Amino acid sequence: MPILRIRCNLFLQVVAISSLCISLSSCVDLDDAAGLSKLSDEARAELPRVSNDVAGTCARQNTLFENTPPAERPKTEQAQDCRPYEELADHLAKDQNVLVSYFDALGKLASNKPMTYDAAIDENVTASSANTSFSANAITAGNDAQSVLKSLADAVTNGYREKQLGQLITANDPAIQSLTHSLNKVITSDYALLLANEQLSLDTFYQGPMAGAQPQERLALILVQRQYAYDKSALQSRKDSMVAYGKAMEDFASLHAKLKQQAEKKASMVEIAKQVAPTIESLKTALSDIQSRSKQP
Amino acid sequence: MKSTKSIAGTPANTTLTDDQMQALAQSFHDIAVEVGQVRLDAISAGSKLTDPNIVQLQGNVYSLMNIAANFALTAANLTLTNADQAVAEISVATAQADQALDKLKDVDKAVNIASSVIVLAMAISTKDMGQIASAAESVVTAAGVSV
Repeated sequence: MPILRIRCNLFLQVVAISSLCISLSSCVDLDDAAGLSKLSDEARAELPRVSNDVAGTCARQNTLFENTPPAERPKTEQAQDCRPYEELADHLAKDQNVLVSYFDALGKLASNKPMTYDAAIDENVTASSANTSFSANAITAGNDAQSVLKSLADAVTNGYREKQLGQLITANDPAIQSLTHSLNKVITSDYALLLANEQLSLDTFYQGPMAGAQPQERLALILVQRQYAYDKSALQSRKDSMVAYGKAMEDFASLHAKLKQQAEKKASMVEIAKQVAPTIESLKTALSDIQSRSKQP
Repeated sequence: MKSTKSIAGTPANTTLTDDQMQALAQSFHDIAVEVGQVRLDAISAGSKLTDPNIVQLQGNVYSLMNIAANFALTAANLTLTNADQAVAEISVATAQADQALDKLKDVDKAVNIASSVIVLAMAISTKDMGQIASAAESVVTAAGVSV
């Protein structure tokens, strides 16, 4: 009898586990549907290529300055102090990391995977937000990132599950809209101006000596023209990546707005997937654009 | 613009918006481009890269670019009394400078205009309305346009 009872229990357990597996495999969750976790991984790799270049542009301009013969520039002029550029790049990296972590968390929550939270991110964002010398958009981005981060921390602490996903999305939509808008503005306005400065540095560096070249320097001039064209092409590539970054931020904002809309309608996963698919595709294209340009020489 | 509390009869201090800061940055950058073009035209016309005025123009280009970068990067919370008036005066002055530098062949005049614009930027950093107004007027005078 005991052996029969054990076999019976075992059979029931196998049936139960099999049923659970069948039901799970037929159920599509938001992460499967929208690929939020994979998208977050891509964004985590590609967005810093643009934001880190806020510091890169200063370094490149200083190289041009230092390669200009001292006799051709006033003695009082000095290379730029790159610290403000580096601080802004660092600030942007932390804020966009929060944005990406948030979308990753949505994916994990949607698929009931364990949500984790890195307390170190919190400390970093808080520290960088304390710097009030940034532009207003950069400061706003820092404040929004802190708000999103607090919400994530609360979700982890309170053990949020899939059913609380809609609540999290609705509560965070204003901060996500503002954060994406601010990051977009800092890159497509402030960084754009820094790249325009770099363009002027390049033109000043090359065009003067080229205009003053002597006829016997013909071959040297051809080499310099080629180098100038190469540098301009690399700069144009950075400008294109900047535009792709702006598009990615618009898509993140649009994606979140659609998720909020669908959450409020309590739409099915199939319907959500249908609604967000074009935005996800556009976002992937923008991130892929940044990646492909980063591989160009 | 965000205004702080004002005492009756005293103009309120106003913090410039990001868009206003961006517009200022763009104005200084555009003037740097014009100064760079005057320098290049002079070199094309036969001036040497080491001629004092060409060197001075090169220095002005660097300074104007640094000013533009500072406005874009770090100069948030620029609070001025009568900010609207200040922004209007700065905008008029920089527009006049930009216009005067366009296709300018006179290198000395370009140096004067560029230097006056740099003084204007320094005046903005003092946040003193009197200095800003005076520097803006000097830019207009250097540009050779009557107010």
